[in-house]
Amino acid sequence: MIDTNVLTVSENMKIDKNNYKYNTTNILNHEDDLQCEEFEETPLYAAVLTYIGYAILCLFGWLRDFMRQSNIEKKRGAIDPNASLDFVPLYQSYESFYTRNMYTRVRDIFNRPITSVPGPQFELAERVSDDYNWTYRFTGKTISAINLGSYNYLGFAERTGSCATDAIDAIKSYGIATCSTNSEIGTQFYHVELEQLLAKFLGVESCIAFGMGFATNALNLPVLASKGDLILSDELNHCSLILGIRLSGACYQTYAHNDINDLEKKLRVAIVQGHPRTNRPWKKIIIVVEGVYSMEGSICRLPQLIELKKKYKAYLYMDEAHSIGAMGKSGRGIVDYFNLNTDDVDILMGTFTKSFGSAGGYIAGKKSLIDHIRVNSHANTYASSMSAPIVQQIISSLHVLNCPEGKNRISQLADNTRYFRQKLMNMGFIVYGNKNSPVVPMLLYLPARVTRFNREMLRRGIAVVTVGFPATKLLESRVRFCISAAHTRQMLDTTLAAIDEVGTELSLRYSTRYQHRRLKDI
Amino acid sequence: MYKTKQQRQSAWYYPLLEVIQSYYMQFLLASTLYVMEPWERILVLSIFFLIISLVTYSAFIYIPFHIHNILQATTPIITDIFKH
Repeated sequence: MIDTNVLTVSENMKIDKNNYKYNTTNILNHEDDLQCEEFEETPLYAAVLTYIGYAILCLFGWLRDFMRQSNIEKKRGAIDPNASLDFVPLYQSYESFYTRNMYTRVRDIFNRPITSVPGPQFELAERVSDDYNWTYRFTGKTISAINLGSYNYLGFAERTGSCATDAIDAIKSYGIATCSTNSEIGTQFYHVELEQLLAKFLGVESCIAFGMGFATNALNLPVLASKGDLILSDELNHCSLILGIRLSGACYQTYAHNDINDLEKKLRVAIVQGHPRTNRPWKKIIIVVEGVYSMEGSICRLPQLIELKKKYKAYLYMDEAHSIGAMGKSGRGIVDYFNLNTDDVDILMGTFTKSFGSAGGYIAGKKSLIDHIRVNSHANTYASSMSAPIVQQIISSLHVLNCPEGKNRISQLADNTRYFRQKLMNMGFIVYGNKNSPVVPMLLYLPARVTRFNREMLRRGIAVVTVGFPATKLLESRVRFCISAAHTRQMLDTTLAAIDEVGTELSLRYSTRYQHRRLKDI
Repeated sequence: MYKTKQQRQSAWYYPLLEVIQSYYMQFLLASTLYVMEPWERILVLSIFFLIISLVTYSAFIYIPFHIHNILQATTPIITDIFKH
């Protein structure tokens, strides 16, 4: 199916040496260039090989479990100590089967310890296993590698610079622990300064900051929603949002990822039918979305969501963990990216871990909302308040973002993102997501190829994060590159050359929409 | 006599060995034997070759007999035609 649009773009109509015309329609979901997303379908042979691969792993898992059970082989994992005493078994689910027989075989590609600040280039501790990843020993050497796994979008993870100096001065002036909660005696003036600065940065009335990003979601959704409310959440929402939704006690439904029609249908049904048993009207309906989804690289459809929420009088909660600082002309997130009004999104949530190089989370919105959260949230009344150097790092990075240096970082990130994504797609790899999102997931499918890719990239001095089954769907194992403003063009070129080489050795070019090309031919 | 690396690489069987190695790696990756321990790989490969050798052996023994049978049943014999 060749769309008429393609005829105007001459590059897409090339025929390769086998005279095979590649199907190169670029699926534009909207007239906007801002919402241009692609999620290419899984090719059949990759799906079949992936299923066969997992089936073989399963067979060998049963064989090894049988050998361990009949004492031919020593049991090395966690053992139930009271297995013979008629207790309910501790480890019975498929999860522990997976951990013993599939995860442990390839465990050396996950959870690698690092020995330096996670900047654009960092040091990894070299570790070696003599017994197939059950135990490790450190050789004492470190591997220097380009870092494509840290959420260092604006490059604030650095040991030197104004932010680091300010944070060290803050330790000297204020110490490390505040030894109290926010509501008792732990609120210092720098907490108030942070909240005011952040509110001015985002363009909202008021803001409240917490010590942990995950807890911000998990403990504040119960404040906003309770029994009698309905929450509609995207199917690919983060675990913290799901936990918060479940803890709140509200009824919840999930809708297909970024599918506004599905959401509208569910909204209409919910408003007409009310509660499932009593048919009473819902007290309020909250739509929970994320700004940038970290496993897909897709961006939420904010203009349509705002239109929908105004039409059906629902509330919108947006989790901008990966998009604050990284998206938008001045780094103010998705609202800035689409040039919309911040008053339209009722609850803006974000974290300081990704773009600000610190730790913690915040919620921003109207003053009445924030005052309500301040009084009723468990995270405010029971959690220890944020430590001084952490707050100072955020304040310094906010000051930097307002200067020309910050604008440089934001535009460098956008430049790096577009360059990297465009090159990867032109080489013929399947890359998901919006072309402006700094999270670049590239699909690898087969579990053995995922392992080999990770090890080969490390051998070439590039550390990447590969994710497989429990975090993603069974078929769609991927490698997720997190582009940073601190990556130089040369680092990206080295990475692209390595991906090109490894991709050719492992035949990772699955795309049918783009021609398969080597890097030197682009 | 010690050969230099250049001389060793131009020996005729090294490119062949590289090609075989790359095909072996592709096979290991596609069948997920890459993540298995050596004894598991040997087990799978030996089962695979056992099945292939059984099929080949049966083919060698039984196919000539079957072809002879089929030919005998389908081609008319001249003497039969002369008798009738």
